[in-house]
Amino acid sequence: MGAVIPVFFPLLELLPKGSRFKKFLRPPGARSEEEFLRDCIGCGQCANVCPNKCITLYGLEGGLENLATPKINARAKGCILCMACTQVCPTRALDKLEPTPEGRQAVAMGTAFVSEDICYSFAGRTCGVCYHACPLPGKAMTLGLFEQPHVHAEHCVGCGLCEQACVHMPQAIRVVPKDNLSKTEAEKAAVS
Amino acid sequence: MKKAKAVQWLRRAVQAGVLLMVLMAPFMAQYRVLLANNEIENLRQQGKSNLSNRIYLTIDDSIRGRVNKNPSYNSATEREKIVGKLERLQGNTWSAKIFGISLTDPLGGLESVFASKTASQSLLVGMLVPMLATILLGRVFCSWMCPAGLIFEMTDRLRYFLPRIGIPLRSISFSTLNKYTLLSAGLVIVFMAGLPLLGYFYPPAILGREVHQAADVLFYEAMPSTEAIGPLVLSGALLFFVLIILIEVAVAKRMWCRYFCPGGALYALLGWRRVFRIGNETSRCTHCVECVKVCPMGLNPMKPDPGLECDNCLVCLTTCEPGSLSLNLRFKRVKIEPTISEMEKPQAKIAC
Repeated sequence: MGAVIPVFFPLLELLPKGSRFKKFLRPPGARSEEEFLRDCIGCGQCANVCPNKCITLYGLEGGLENLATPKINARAKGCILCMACTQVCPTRALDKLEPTPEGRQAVAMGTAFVSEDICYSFAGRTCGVCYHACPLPGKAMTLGLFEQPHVHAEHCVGCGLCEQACVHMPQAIRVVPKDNLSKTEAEKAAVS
Repeated sequence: MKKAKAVQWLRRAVQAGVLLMVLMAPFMAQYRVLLANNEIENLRQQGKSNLSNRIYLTIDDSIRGRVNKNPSYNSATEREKIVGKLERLQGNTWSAKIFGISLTDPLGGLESVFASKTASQSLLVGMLVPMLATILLGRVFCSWMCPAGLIFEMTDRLRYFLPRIGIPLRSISFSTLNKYTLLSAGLVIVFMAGLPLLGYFYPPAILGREVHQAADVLFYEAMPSTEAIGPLVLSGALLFFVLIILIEVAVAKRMWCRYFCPGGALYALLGWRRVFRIGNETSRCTHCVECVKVCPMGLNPMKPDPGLECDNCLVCLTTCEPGSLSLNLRFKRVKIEPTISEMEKPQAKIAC
C-alpha cells in the first residue's frame, strides 16, 4: 500500500478537472465550480428535497469528479428558486438562501443568452414565452418590439425557466453555467 | 441469554428500520413531488391565471400569483405547508435530515473537511451526534445501523449453505490494519486531489445513492430520454457492491467490514475509549470458545477487553452459557493479563 501512494500522485493530475464534459447548472447557492466540487460529498439530499425534481444527480457520464453531484438540466426542467436545496445541504457546497426576493436575487447559477438569429420574436413573430416564464420579469429580462427578449446579465440568476419554456427547437435562449461563463468571456476577449 | 437474544432481535429491528428508511426516502420524495404538483394545480385553479401561455408547472407560479394579491404572503411558510409534511425523514445514512436534525456520516464530514480545508458550522453540527454516539458506544454504526452491513450479514449466511451443496469456499484472513491504511491513504488522496472521493467506495453511501437513482429512473420525467444516465451509475457502483458480496462469500467472512472498510476504521478509531465494552469475567469463563466461533468480526471476546475492532454487536452474549461475558460500563482501560494471551494459542485455528 505504501508503494501505491507515490504512484498515485501523478495520476491525480489526470483526473478530469476541466470542461471535458458537458456542463450543466449547479443548484442555487453554489459558489464557483472548484469550491463546489471540493465541498459536495454527493449525499443527494438536494435532489431528494427538490419539490420540482429539476435537480438530478450526475452518473458516470460526468467523469469521476462529478459523480453523484447535483445538476440542473435547464432545457428539461428549470429551477423555481424555492431554495429548499440550500436549506438542506449538510456542507458548505450550497450557501443558505431564503426564498425571498432578496434571496432569489442573490442566486448566481449562470446567465441566459438569446440566439437572435433563431428567436421567433427577433424574426418579427411575436412570442415572449421566455419573458412570461422569467421569475424576475422586468429586472432580469425586458421586452422590446414584438416581445423581443432582452436579458440583463447583472440581474439574471440563471434559473433556466426561460430555456425550459422556449418554444423553438432547438432553444433560442440558453442559460450558460457560471463556470462556462468566465471561459466564454475570456474567449471573446481573446478573439477581439 | 434470553435477554441477549432479545437484544439481537432489537438489533435486527434497528438495522431493518434503517434499511427501510434508506429504501423508502427517495420514493417518499417522489410522492412529495406528486402532492406538491397536485397542490399547485389546486392553487392555480383557485387563483386567476393570467399567465395562460406558461408551459411549465411550478410552485413559483402560484406563489407569484399570490404575492401580487397579498404582500404579507410568506412563501417559506407556504412551502412548509405544501411539501413540509413528508420532509421530516429524508436522506440516507451518508447524510440525512430526520425531524429537522441534520446527521452526517463522520467519514463524509471528515473527507469534506480534508478536501475543502475548511469546516462549516452546519457540517460540524451534523457530525456531532454520530461522533458523540461513536465515542460513547463504540463502532455501533457498523453493527446496529449500517444498511450495507445488514446485507453483508445476510449474504454471509451463504457461507454456511454453499459448502453443504458441495461448493468449496476459502477462509483467508487479511490484516485488520488494511482498513486503517485505506482510510489514511484515502484521506491523503482526498487532501491532495481536493475531491471527496471516499464516498464512491463506501458501501452505505453507494446504497443510498443507488436507491435514489433507481427512484429517479422509475419516476423519470425531468431528463429527456437521450440523457437517461441513471442506469449507468447504477451499473457502475452496484457492480462494486455486488463484487464485494461475491468476493466476501468466496474468500472470507465479512471481509469488507473486517479488513477494508474505511468508515469502519474511522469508527473504530473514534470509539477506542468507548464507555460500553464487552468484558469477560475470567473466573466464571469455561473456555468453551463458543463466543469466538460466533463473533462476526473474528475477535476473541474471552479476552478481558476485545479491543479496537469490536463493534458492540453483542452476538457473543447470546452463546455464553456460563454468563461470564457482559456489557460493562467502563471508564478505565483494562490491562490484558499474560495468562489469557497464552490461552489464545489453540483458538487461532478455530477462528474463522
